[in-house]
Amino acid sequence: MIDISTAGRAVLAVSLALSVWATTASALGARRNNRKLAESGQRALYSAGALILAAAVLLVAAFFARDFSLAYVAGYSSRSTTPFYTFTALWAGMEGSLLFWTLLTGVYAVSAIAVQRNRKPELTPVATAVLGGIMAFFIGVLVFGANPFEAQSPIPADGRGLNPLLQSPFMAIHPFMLYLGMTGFAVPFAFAVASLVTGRLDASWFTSTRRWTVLAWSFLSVGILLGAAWAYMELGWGGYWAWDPVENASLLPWLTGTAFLHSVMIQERRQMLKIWNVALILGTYCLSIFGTFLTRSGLLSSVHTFSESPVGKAFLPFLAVLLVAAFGLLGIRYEKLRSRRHLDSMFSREAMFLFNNLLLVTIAFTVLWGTLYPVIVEALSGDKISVGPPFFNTVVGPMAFALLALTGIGPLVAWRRGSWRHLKRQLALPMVAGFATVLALALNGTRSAGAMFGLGLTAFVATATFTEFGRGARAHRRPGPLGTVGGLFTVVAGNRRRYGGYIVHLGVVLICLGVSGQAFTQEWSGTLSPGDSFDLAGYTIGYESADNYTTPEKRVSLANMSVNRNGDRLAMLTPQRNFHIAQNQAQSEIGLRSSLSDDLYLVVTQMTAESQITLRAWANPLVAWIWIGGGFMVLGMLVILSGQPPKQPQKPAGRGGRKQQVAVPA
Amino acid sequence: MKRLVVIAAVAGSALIAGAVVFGGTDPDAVPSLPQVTGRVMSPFCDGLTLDECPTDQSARLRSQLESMINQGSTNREIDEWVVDNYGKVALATPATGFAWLAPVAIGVAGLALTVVFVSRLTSRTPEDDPSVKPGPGLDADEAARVEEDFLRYQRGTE
Repeated sequence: MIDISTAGRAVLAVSLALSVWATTASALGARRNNRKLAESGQRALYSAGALILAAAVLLVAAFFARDFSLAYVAGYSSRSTTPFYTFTALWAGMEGSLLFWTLLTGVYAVSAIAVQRNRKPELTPVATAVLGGIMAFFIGVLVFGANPFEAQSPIPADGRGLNPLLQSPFMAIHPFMLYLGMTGFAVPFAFAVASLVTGRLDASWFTSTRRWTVLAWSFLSVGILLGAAWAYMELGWGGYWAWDPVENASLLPWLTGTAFLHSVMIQERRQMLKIWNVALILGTYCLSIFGTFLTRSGLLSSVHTFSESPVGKAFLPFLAVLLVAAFGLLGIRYEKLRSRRHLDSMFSREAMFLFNNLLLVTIAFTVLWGTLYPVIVEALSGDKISVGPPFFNTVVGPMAFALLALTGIGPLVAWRRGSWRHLKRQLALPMVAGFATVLALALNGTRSAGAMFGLGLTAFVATATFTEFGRGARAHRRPGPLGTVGGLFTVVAGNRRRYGGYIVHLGVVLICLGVSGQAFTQEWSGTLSPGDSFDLAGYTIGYESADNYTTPEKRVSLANMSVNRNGDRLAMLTPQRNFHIAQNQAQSEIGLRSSLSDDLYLVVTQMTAESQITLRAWANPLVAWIWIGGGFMVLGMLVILSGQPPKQPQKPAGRGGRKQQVAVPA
Repeated sequence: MKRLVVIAAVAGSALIAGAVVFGGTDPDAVPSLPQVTGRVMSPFCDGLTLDECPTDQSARLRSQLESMINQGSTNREIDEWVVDNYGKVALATPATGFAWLAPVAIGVAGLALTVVFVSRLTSRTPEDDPSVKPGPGLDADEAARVEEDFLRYQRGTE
């Protein structure tokens, strides 16, 4: 009988051969206008995708069978690992996460080609070649560098188990979403490259992949937010974003992807910015690959990185090939992509989108620069330095404020040519809301300029966005009891993309509201004995007693903490300091009381034999609004995705590619 | 056009002023503990500041810094002590101006390029634009009036 290691290796080897054939046959099919070759390439891509799925199923089966003959299974699970975390262990380590990344790329590749081969037959062969090439690279890394089916001898009686930090529902879903986001950009990347190779440079490449792009961007947004939630719940430092290199790596494609989703509207409406849009989507996927390179190369230290591995170095030449090939093609097609259109006015929606893009790309550059600066300095001078939150907050903060302001102003400016008088009238109410917020904060004793500015801006943008909804709802008001509410549903249903976008904007505003609350954070730290209490932000927190017990996985030291306000008992929190036996690792579990106004966040960093604890406590105002904002973003994305795809411009007879099954590169 | 350039200049200045206001640290001032722990990288947690690192060693280092602050140590003295004991890598804020200058330079260059790009696009004549059909043409006031009428129509006030 064949063991799982041999079967897994064989499946990966065959899928590598198939993906190489998918690339070769599709590229040749496109080049020679050979339909049979192109179709053979597509079938090979489907088969490679199916085999990667089979490899993932094999690995999951090995996890559930507790087959510790596989080093990967023994490294990330044990007999006591729960079924849920046994499944999520698939992407807990370097090898499994690479297999999972490849699987998601395969799912996207197979789905996109299956959907587009009849809709965009002129682009599909080259897109298949690109997607097959990407898959071949990842499968090659699995086969030659990071094989999750590596066998070990002697076989241990039990595995090491999953890192306790990864045993969190957020961490189980966060990488899944993040990978879905980052791998998803492969689809618009492949079709953009296909349009450059074939010379079919009209809007069809992005209209046909717009939903894939929105989907990838949506998953990435959710993944980033879940990562923040994981950091908040599990890392025990009272915050959710640390400008860590790996957090930054996930933010980079999100920033350029966001820029693309905005600027592509100019191309749709005005057939302008073709070069810029192609460059943005090419850059977005390259940044996704750059992110996975950072996580796996050991180049930078982070709580999120996998252990240093030689496979990380394979990503650098791959990234170089992607960049040179994609941007080289863009250079070759530069003249054909240049637009002769004119812009009616500096003061127009188009110009607002350009400034939005400028800010997003500059923020992306800043984040990239700050992340790589220590590496550059070390390479040039040998000095080890750090670039941390103060740098990013200082440089990115003002640009983020400007971007937020544009989020409010941009939708109020008309396409082609705006009117100052009209804008002034539209901005009156939001300005009043913004200034009223600043005034209220000042009267309330707030002295933080950043917090006042941020919250004032938040009120301004929220009011501007609500005004847009209100105008639409009034214009479509229905007779009868539903009236304006009915009008609101009509207007949102009638233009889901626009109003879905506004709902996403509202989500961003709520996230900014939550982040602004950071300025009012209060912290307490010290040692307590049972019976002691302290005051923080209007709460009286008492240390009632300690509990100590042992489970098969860990030794638990738990503090029973009462939370009171004005003599009323609000909650009983139980922060823990646990020692995980298999991993020989201590970890804190937080105690959290969350409300719309603030979070009370308790962390025990030490507990002595006499039950004396060292405690850190934070009162974090408005944090819950970050997660509510995330919910709004998801809702907005669902509204956008539920809309009809945009109609593609009709091509004049005889010039379209529909009659032609396989395009010859121009 | 002039108005937009002025706005862009004001916005750019506001961004730089904002960066200075939010980012400035007086080397001779006595800081608060969160100010220090927020700008010192923890030697005990990869990629996290002392504020964020949840280990016992970090707690001890925070206590040590707190006692220095209580004794009146200034920003400069604390930073020097941190560098002496843990190296430059322990400071979260890069000391070289170049680190700060590059993003500002890119932002300003990008702003200038965008303004130039947009003004070039706006200065093209509609005759050059294949999407524009010859028509009666509207001056700015007329265009604004048409938009006002359209908006009144959209609001359903007419």
